[in-house]
Amino acid sequence: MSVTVDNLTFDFDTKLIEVQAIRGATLTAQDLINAIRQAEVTDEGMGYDKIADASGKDSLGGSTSVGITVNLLDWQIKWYAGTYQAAISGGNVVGGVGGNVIDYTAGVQVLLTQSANSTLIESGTSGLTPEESAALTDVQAKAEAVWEANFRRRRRVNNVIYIYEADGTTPKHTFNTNEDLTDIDPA
Amino acid sequence: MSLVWPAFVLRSGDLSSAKAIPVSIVLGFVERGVGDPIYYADVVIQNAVVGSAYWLGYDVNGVFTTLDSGVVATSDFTIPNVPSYTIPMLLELRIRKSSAAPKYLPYKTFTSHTTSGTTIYTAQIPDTVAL
Repeated sequence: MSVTVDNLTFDFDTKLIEVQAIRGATLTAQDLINAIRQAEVTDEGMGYDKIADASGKDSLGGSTSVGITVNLLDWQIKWYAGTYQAAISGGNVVGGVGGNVIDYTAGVQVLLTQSANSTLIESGTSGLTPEESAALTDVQAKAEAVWEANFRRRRRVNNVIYIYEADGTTPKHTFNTNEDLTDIDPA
Repeated sequence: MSLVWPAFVLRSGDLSSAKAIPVSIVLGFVERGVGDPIYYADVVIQNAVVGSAYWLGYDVNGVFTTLDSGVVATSDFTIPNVPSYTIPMLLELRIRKSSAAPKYLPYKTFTSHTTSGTTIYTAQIPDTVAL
């Protein structure tokens, strides 16, 4: 007994998720769990235990969140026949049968990328919250102000060093020195 | 085997001369088949999310077999006259909602089906991963 969702065929007898050729060689963890949940709720799927657990997507602030982990409960993914490299991306896919989530298909090499601490970052955004962005801008402004004040209050022209008042224009101290600053007058 | 033992009082004439004769009449009996239910009782499901699909099954040597399935129309509903093949009988209830937002994680629970009926309070958890 099987059901097909998003070009993934779920065979409830063999516990295989068969990737159809029309779907292509790449599969994301998000697409996988979406299809799994759809399959579980079909008339056929209701007669069987759930296919997988999934976790992740907890917000880390802004558009960054914890990566998805899909834990296949004795199910495996089987790719369509051919000679190509397939890939599962966008999160961790774990579990399967004996820790193996891929059912062997001759000629197919599956690239499975896993991370102990994966994150998701929404595309098209900076990854910062408005508050974080404002705080960073404020820090940058203060750093520039400090640099500007220091630059304006301490200047070296040829072998003379001038120290100015806080206004940056009134001379406060003047030192005569040499090229390598080994002699300073007054010391 | 079911036996029914009604008792009747036969009367004739006025009350003072009535003769009370207890009579036992065997109306008949039907022997329950090997696969026939022992009894029927309602299963009440509470707090289900409307629009969820539900599936109710019973345990047959570790394998759960379908008793009823459908779509939740009201959060509290009754599945009437659910047969019981053992006393008590282990039931499994599955409730899932992922066809449309808001989606919920697959939920299942177990309970014993008793002669007085069964009430199952469900607590589905929103799914924050699937889209």
